[in-house]
Amino acid sequence: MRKRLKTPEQQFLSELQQAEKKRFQTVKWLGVLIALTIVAQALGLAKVIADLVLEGSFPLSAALLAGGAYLLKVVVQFVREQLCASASRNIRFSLRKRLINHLTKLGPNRLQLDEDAGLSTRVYEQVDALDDYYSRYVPQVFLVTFIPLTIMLAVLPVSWIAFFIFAFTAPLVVFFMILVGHKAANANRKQFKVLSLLSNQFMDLNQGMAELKRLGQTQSARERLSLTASEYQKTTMGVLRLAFLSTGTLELFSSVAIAMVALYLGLGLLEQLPWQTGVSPVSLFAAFYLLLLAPEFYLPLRQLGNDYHAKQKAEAAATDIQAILDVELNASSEHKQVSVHEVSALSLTPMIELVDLHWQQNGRTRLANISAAIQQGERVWLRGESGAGKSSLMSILLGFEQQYQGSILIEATPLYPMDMQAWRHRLAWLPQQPEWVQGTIRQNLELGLGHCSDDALRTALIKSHCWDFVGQLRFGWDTPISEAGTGLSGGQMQRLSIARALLSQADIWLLDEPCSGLDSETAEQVLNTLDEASFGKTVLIISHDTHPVVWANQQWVMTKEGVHVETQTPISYV
Amino acid sequence: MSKRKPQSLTFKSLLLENPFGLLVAMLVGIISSLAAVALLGISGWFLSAAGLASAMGAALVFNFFTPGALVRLMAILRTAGRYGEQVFSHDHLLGLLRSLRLWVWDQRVNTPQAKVNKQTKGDLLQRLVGDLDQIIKWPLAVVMPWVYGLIGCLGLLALGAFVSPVLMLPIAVYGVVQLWLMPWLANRAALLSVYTMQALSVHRRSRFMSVFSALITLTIRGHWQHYSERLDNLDERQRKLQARLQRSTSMTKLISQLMSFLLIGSFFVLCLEISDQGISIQAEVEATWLVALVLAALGVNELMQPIANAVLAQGQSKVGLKRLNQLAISRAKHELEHVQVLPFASISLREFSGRYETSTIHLPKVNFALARGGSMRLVGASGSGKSTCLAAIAGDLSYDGEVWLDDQRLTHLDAPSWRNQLAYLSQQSVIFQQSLRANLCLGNATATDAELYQVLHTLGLKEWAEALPNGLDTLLGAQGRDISGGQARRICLARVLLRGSPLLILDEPFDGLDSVSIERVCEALTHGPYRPDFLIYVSHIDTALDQYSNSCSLN
Repeated sequence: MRKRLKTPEQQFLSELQQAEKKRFQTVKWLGVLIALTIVAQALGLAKVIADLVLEGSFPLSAALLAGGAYLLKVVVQFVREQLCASASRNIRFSLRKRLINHLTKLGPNRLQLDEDAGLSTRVYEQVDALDDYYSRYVPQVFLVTFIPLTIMLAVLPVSWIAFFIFAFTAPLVVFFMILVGHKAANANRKQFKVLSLLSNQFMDLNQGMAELKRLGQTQSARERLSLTASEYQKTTMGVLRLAFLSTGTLELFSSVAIAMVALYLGLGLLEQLPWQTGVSPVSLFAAFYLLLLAPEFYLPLRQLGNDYHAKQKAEAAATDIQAILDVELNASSEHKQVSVHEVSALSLTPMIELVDLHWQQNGRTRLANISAAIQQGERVWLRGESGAGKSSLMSILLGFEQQYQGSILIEATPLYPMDMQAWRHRLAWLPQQPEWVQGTIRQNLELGLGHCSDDALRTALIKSHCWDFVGQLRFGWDTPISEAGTGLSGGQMQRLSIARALLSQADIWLLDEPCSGLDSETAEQVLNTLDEASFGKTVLIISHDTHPVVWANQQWVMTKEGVHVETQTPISYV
Repeated sequence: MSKRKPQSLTFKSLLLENPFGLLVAMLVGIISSLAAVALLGISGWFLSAAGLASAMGAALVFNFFTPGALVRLMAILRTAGRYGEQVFSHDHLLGLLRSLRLWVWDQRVNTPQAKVNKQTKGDLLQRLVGDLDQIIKWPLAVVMPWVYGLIGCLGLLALGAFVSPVLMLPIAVYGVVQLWLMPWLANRAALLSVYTMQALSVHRRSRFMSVFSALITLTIRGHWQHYSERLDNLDERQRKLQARLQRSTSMTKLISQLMSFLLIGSFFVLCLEISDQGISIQAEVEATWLVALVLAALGVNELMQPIANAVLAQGQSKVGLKRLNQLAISRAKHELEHVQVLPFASISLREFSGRYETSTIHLPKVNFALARGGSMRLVGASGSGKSTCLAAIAGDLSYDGEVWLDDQRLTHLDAPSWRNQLAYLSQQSVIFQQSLRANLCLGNATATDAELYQVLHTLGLKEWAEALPNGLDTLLGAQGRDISGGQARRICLARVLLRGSPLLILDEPFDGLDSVSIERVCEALTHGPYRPDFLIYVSHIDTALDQYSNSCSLN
């Protein structure tokens, strides 16, 4: 077959394969052994049959050869299967580890790809979708050339005619497989798309089930599901008929070829061949030898045809998996040591100072040039249109993004040479959707902190105005926060995350639109709570203009051109 | 419409779903399998008989046309059969997929609303789709190979009886071992692993979700390592289980191959006798037929191979069925369909409050009555249960207290007949992956373009809609991905307004609307085309609507 240019997916798959090179090498050698046992088995069995039929005797040595070859083949197949499976497992499980590791390092950037649920499908189901490819398809690719070649060589000394039948039909089989298979592959790809569309529709309607019930439209949605499914069945069957045609052609060729060999041999034995009547070109032994080898000649090809979809499945999965690994990890970039400031004794050293900070990614400006500073205990309201880079700045400060230019000085020390762990320990992070794990309120508050005393917990809950509603719960802070919602409102959940920030003793708080999911009344109350709770901390808060942060000392107005710093007289209740 | 499905799914119901389709697929498959075995057998007989005839000098009188034609016929039958089997069985499989999806849909439609919300969350739906894909393969992966194996064994048995009746015993033993004993043993050895693996993968995924949903907090606190190790441990266990399963599948295959070896060995042992000249064939056994039998046995051996893989498919389908059946409705559906709601002139709520199934918080109770043409605004602090109350009236949540329509007490707020009387704008905006028109028409299927544009105009969306590339027929992305939150909100409101129900329940209808639109909506609700008989709403913005409404405090 013509070597085509490898697509990125194939490239990716073969790179993964390299890690298990040794195993696949062994598998290849075992394949050679299998090919030899096939020939030996045919040889032995043919001898047994010929003697049995013609002389009524049973050649023990030939029978032992056939039986021994069969047993050896079976055992080698077993070992080979084990090896392939363990190679596939090694590849998949280490890939999965790599993916999880990568996703972790991406931090908030992972959400550019997909939601967590979608990512988990990629990490688990999609990675497992590679199994058939590595455990069946890859080993088969070698056999599909090696076994037929071995058989052809083994047939050569016995019968020229059989050799030519094989030699002619094999390329024909391959030719037709490519011809039909190519069409079928295209059709198959379309089919995959339609299938996912249908699944999407099912998911989409199911997700909106509550709304459909409210609108009394469940029956019409059912009809829609049913109709598209029926239509899909019709179109898919059209596609599948074509797809199966490729396997069908293979089957046809192998069947016809086997029948041809059988017929040729039969007529030859009867001395009835039109071109050589009266002469028998083959002995009965040779005839059986050929007949037994004929199906084995086509078997690997047929199996490859069956496993072809494994390849397609793997390529589709590889696209999704690659997408994860393609999101650059921006760690370990070099930061030019910025000429250290002459720290003048007179001016206060800012807690955080941004010097000519900007960030370009793939030619796109993620963050325009910023120079600004926050003093210890100052609170900054970061505002600006969406896409100006507010979240990018957060990402940088959290240490998930290091490919920027310029520098960040934390108490006059550049951020990156600094110990990231130590820096992160000083941070508290409050995003739009508070981060929760399955567990009790207490477990969530203590998340990553280790055990906290009841007193500390109580103080944090009181300060964040959670005490009232947590106290109302039957199990207090031991009530589980399940994903189905305990009846806690968005505002209450956000307050709990304030309690968590308080509990962590962090002195720098980063908040990314903590109020955006809330109605303005609740948002105002949450902001007031934040005012109290974050007093004395160094705070950078992103908030939409509809939720003004009146207690901030500074406003940073971010635009695509840069940032404009305004001082603001804080209106604080503290 | 299609027939109603039984309450719970079983393997039997899968088989009976479309028995004709399955039967056709299976028959074609049987023909193909038998032809494959026969092809080997007949060729073997043909060759040996021809060889014998030639050796005995009877070649010229040997009838080679019939066996030659048979060989060709079998070759064609095998190919056509394999093709037909694949086509028919996939047709059957897709039909099964369709009816299983509808089954899931029916179950969810009949599930109480509060539970539906729970099912929608998380990755349950994703899992459902996966389970469906697993289950539909069951007939193809488990039933059919077994049937083919059985038929193959029966064919072999018949041939064995013809060659020498004594051969029937080993063939029968072979069949029993391959078709019953081995699957049973494999099931015992591997089924538990299959279950554990399935349970583990659910557990692993929820741990993944849990850990990743708190990723940044964990990373900042430096405790990520600890959590990720636990994830790795789960993965490691999964890997061991996979290895074990793989081993037992391969082992089954190995044993099955050895059984075939023993079978053929026993043929020889039973048909041969040892004499002084060495080993020779018994006089009453025809060597040519023995050859046919040996080759046919090799063919049957091939048929047996897929059965080894069936254990895994069987286990997975079983788990899938079990999980699907958890969806099965617990409540008799007709109970709700009997509830009748007659036209009413007043609604009154007594000691009414909504409640989440899992929550223990007691929300304030409300008492109010509303006459036709009346309007009520619920007010209260954040978290006082305004939205919960609205959702409970609309039948989305459980409730405490009483609801009276005139002098009739309404007990089932989630009855379809009650829902038909009301239109409810909930807090979540739901946009379907359909055209803008289809999304709006969910409110009123017969709405004309003029009516649609009118409601869009009221909500200030007309210009936007007109500027869309395909106007009303523009496809909206799933979950409203390509429109803004405000637009999604307004489309939902438009849908609700179009319904023209007597009772209108609106939760924050003015969120994301500009002041001009708010005025227009208020006007339309009080004097205009969308004026309902009864209106209950919650809004944090004071609007012109309040002048026409009473208010009810939840504090």
